[in-house]
Amino acid sequence: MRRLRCAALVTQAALFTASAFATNYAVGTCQPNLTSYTTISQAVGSVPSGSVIEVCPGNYSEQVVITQPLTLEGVPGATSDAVITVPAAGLSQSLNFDFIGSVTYQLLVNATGPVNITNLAIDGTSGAGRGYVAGIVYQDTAGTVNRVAVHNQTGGGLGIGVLALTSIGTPQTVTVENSVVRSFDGVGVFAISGDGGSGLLTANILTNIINGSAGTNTVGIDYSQAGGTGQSNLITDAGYGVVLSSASATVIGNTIASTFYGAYINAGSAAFTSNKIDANGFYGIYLQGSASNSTVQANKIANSSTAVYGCGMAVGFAPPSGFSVTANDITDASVGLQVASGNTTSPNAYYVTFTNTSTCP
Amino acid sequence: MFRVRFAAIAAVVLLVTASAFAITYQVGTCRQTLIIFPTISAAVNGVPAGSTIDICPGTYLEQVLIAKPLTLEEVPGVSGEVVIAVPPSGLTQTVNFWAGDFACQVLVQSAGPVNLSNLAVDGAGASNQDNVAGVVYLDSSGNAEHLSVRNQRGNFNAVGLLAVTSGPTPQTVTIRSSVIRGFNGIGVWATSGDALVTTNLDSNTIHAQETQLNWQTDVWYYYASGAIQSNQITGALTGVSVGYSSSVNVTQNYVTGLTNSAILWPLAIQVWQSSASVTNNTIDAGTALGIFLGGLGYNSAIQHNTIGNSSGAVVGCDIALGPPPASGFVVTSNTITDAATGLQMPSGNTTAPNNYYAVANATLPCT
Repeated sequence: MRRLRCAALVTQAALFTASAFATNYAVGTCQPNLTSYTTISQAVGSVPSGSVIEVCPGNYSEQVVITQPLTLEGVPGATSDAVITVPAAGLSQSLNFDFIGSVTYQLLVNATGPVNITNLAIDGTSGAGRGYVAGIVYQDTAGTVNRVAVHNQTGGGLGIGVLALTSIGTPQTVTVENSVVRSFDGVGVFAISGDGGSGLLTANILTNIINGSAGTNTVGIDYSQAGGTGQSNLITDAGYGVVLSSASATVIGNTIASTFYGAYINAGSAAFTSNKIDANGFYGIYLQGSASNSTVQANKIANSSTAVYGCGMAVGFAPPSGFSVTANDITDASVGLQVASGNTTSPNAYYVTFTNTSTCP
Repeated sequence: MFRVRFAAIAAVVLLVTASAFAITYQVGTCRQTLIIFPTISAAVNGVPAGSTIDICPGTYLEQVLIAKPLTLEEVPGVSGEVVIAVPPSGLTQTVNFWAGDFACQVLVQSAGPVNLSNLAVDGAGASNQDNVAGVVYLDSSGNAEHLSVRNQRGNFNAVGLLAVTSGPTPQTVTIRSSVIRGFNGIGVWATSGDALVTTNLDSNTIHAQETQLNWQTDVWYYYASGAIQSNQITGALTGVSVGYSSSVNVTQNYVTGLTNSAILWPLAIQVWQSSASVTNNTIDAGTALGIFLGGLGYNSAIQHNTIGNSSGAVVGCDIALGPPPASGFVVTSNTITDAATGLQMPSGNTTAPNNYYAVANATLPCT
């Protein structure tokens, strides 16, 4: 009995301690009962680790760097949005990664523990700089981006909505969900397992709306050497709907429309399954590289020039190998499937397709 | 025992009779074991009601009139597509209904169930005609599956697939797993005359020819009913329009890619003067309107939709030359993210609760 009482007291103490860590703070004046800060940067630099920072509606022209675990959110139930915008002087802070080079950011998360961002808007208007410009960057940090609007990250085709990246040898998991990412001219959500090695980043990209109409060669979701699940996203108006480069991700149940390439899969061990693609008269799925049994299965590909293509490029790129392309429904294509030998390419179903299968030249 | 024998004989006779009616005929010469016709029209006219006509891959330059129950499909298991294309002399066969005369490529008229499967109907070459339609079900029922209806472009109006009644008998048309694209008017149009046409759209890809006529609509139900479910809809000024209709269920569709217009408001889904449910759809409004409501709603449910990237996610105010303000709609449990205005509705509607995230103005009154 004494042991039970002791355990109960320890549990209560633990709960109290957790509660103390979850104290709420505010940015702005809409929450008079909370300790308030005038800028987001002041708040994230001042509150205890594990705090919740509620941001009042308004525009916040600042670059934000978060270096400790916390939650940053728009005030729940507010009638207008909290928007992080580009300072009048532009975006002065940037990072440099061996993997992709210089990245200028609006909101950088480089913390020792999970950072969650909810119900905010990140507007990159007038934020173009040298190299990449990103709305949100998660560097070697875990956390969740939920119900966030990220838009107008542009600059010479290098605008990124959300970038999650590992650059050292520590595994991390980042989730981007229920958000709208649009009006970028580079990549919507970019998951890179970078300088620390492949497979360290798990990126779960779930139920987002991603619109790449601001550029001609944009990418909706890009997994580069990363894993995780990309599921139930709506991706439109992009050069590439989904790119999987040496990735181990599972991309499932997405809807992709108005792209030049619905999906581009280069090597890796990814699974691209049960997605719906309206290819708008262009390629449905483009395969490249030496895969370690990547699967392309149970997708519905409509309105394409070639639904699944993999013959290599004229210069410098060998035909794909190691892909398993089966159980896909292909409707209204000029060519249903044109994939080099060394891959599994049947069975698939073809409807109103001019040429069901074609060999590579 | 005598009764059992008689029943058995009767069953055999029935099977033979049914089999006789289900004879498969062929257009083209890709298989040698069947009765062969040189054209689709010759086959349609030459076979008994209830037949199945298998068509060899190839391009058929003809207008097809079907006035009896039958099934028209590509020969199963062959490579290549069957394309019904515009004859060199153009389209002379027309159908008349309340909207005027439409030159049509495949006309199913006053027939019992007619099923179309695995066929392409290509309207390229008829763009000099005023009103053009790819496939028309007039006072007929049937199923259309795995069709490609494409490139219907008229001077004034062009329709991919039209389901219409003019007589007293209700009809049901179901379109499934098809692609309707490249039209410059309406992708799928369901409209009733004296009797109701119920049109069901399931798992289709409907994609307008972008940047064409200002009033392009992917799906238009006008005095019609039916289910619009699990379709991928893009590229028009209006994604789905439901007007003066009843019992229309718009659910689990993905609507994107609205065409910009200098004179009209692009919008993903509109419901006016109808009883409809619009539920569980996902909309990327492309900075235009998500759901527009007008007139009497008869408790139409606008619920559980996800609307992103809109100027106005749900709007029901009076607009110039549009329907009167919305009333009687139930707009609840929607999730609205990244909108200039989340909800702008007049009184007389149920408009809460809904969820708003990263929205400049969650709700605004009508002005």
